[in-house]
Amino acid sequence: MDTQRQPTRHSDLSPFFVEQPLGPSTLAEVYARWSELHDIGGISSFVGQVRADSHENATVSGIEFSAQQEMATTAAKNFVDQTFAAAPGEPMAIYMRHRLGFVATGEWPVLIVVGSAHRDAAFSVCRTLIDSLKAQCPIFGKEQLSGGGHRWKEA
Amino acid sequence: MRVSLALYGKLTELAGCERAEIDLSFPTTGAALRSELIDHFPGLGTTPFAIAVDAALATDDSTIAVADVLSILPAYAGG
Repeated sequence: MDTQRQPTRHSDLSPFFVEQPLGPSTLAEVYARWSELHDIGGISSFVGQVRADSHENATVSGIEFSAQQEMATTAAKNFVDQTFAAAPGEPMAIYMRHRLGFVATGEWPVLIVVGSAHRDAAFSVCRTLIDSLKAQCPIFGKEQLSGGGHRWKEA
Repeated sequence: MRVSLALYGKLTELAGCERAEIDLSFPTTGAALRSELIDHFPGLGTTPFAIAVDAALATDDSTIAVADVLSILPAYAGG
């Protein structure tokens, strides 16, 4: 009888888009849940945080996010499927969320957490996922400026 | 054929709407579709945009037999 344990393949993408805040407690909850994944030995996370950029004497107070949700969600699932397929023997856990609606300066529009057996894969997959999300998920941001104006976020 | 359009991001301002229905001729190509869209919404001619046919990205060379919904997408800016 084959008693070899299969490596963890854990994806937490649903719902990919959320309207409620992401924050330290969200991250802590992921860490707590993953403490039960005993072949995961390294966890890397990426947090996006809205900056108070300045544009023409106005400051960004937040970003209103919108998306082609069906395409973005499918793309995120494909990233995970491709990641799992590229490392068949590697334990892997992936969490991804993106906010919709208004995200104020200092808040988190995106949170990605990747767990693997060792740090190299956790770091590299986390980097690849945020790069893929930014390049391939149809998500759009309207920066709200102090004084009432706005400008569209460019990449 | 009547087709639903969904516009996103800054394209909603350039076109003046988020949703629309227009008549288009099929089969067509991505390039011809782009040109027809600019004819309907001249503001779209001022910026690059992508077209998704029923949630699948089309290129200018794509042949498009039929479509229910076209998503008109500006540059992505998530994260």
